Amino acid sequence: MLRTGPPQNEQALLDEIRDILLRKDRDALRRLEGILERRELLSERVVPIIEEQLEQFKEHFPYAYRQAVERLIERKLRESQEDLLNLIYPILGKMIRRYVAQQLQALRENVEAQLRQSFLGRLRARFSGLRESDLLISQAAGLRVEEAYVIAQHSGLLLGSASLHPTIDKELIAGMLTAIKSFAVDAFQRGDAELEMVNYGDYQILIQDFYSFYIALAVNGALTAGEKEKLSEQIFNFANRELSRKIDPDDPAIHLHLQEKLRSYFIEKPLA
Amino acid sequence: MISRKVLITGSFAVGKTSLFNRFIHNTFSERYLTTIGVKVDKKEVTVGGREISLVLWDIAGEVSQEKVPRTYFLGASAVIYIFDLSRPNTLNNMEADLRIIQATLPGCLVRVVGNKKDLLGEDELLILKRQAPEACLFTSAKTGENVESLFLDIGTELLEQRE
Repeated sequence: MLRTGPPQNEQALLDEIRDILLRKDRDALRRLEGILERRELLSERVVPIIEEQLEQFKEHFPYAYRQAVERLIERKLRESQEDLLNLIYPILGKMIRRYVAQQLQALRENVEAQLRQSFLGRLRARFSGLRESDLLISQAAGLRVEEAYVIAQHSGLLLGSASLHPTIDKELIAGMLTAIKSFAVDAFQRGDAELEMVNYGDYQILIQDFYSFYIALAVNGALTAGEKEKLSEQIFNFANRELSRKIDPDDPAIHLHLQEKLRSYFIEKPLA
Repeated sequence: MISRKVLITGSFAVGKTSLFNRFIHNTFSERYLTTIGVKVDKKEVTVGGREISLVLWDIAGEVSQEKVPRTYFLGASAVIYIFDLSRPNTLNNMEADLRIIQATLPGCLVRVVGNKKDLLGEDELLILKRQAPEACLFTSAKTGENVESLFLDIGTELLEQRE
């Protein structure tokens, strides 16, 4: 059969058929476009889905990603072990010290209470006009940190220092002190024990170990347990604030910074 | 100025302390060597306008001896291993000692030095040169020959390592 009408008519007919067939779809498409273009309408539809997915994600995350996260954390911890230990050491040390100090305080209070009731205690108080603990404090007058050092743990290289009076080369003091420390550890082999104090006449060198460095303070005068405790607390505060990040021992700015900080924390501060 | 720990070690009576004394101005008494087995001193070296402080640890006793505290070795950037050119038996423990050093300080710069060069003639030195490790340097703590250059070389290498 031959076609009779012009091609325009054919096209119009096709369009009409398409309109009829696609009307429903086009209406639906228009509605969808309306939703997509208007934010409030879109969020009305999408937000509940996202929320539902987020809930599911939260619920399943520990199971699905646990291993990956654990591996990542483990790797990170391994890579920055030194940084982490430098960070944790002062905090842990502080917590332990605080606990020990509390226990000692309780013990001291107990002893003092018994002493007050004792004949000797009352006699001392009557003649001196001071309590036993105050007597001890008065004996401590004149205590002073004369030298302070931050020293790399194994190499014994000096990271920072400050002193009240001129001394021999500080790098040599740091080296020899490290050698003496190593000698004590190797000679007496007391497990993880470290050299904590060196006495020389009325001079005491207080040593506090950290992971990659240690701090040594040379104190003129006899330290009581309480003062030693206070000084240790000060050392932990110093390490926590000034040495918890990774330090480059070759950076001259670090040496200057530590010198200034050691001075303000220990040398210029009276022991009270 | 950057600082590096440098160890001086080797067999008994090879001239470690003499070499050490030749290079530095003694700050501490030598009694420390017999009491705690180490003496620390330092020397500042200038190489091509750059300065480095070599903190030298003169260690008494032999590397393989149990009585030398292993912790003395930790943190060292360079080791000078000395033997006595006039006593070839001081080379006997070298291999084992160097293995211990490499295991304790992986990647550390090691310099082998034959000391007491002044006690030997040219012919004997030539023979020993063939027997000694390739990069070995012959020194004389008595005359000072090659002592300064030994420490300058170490300073140069340590500065280069840093870059």
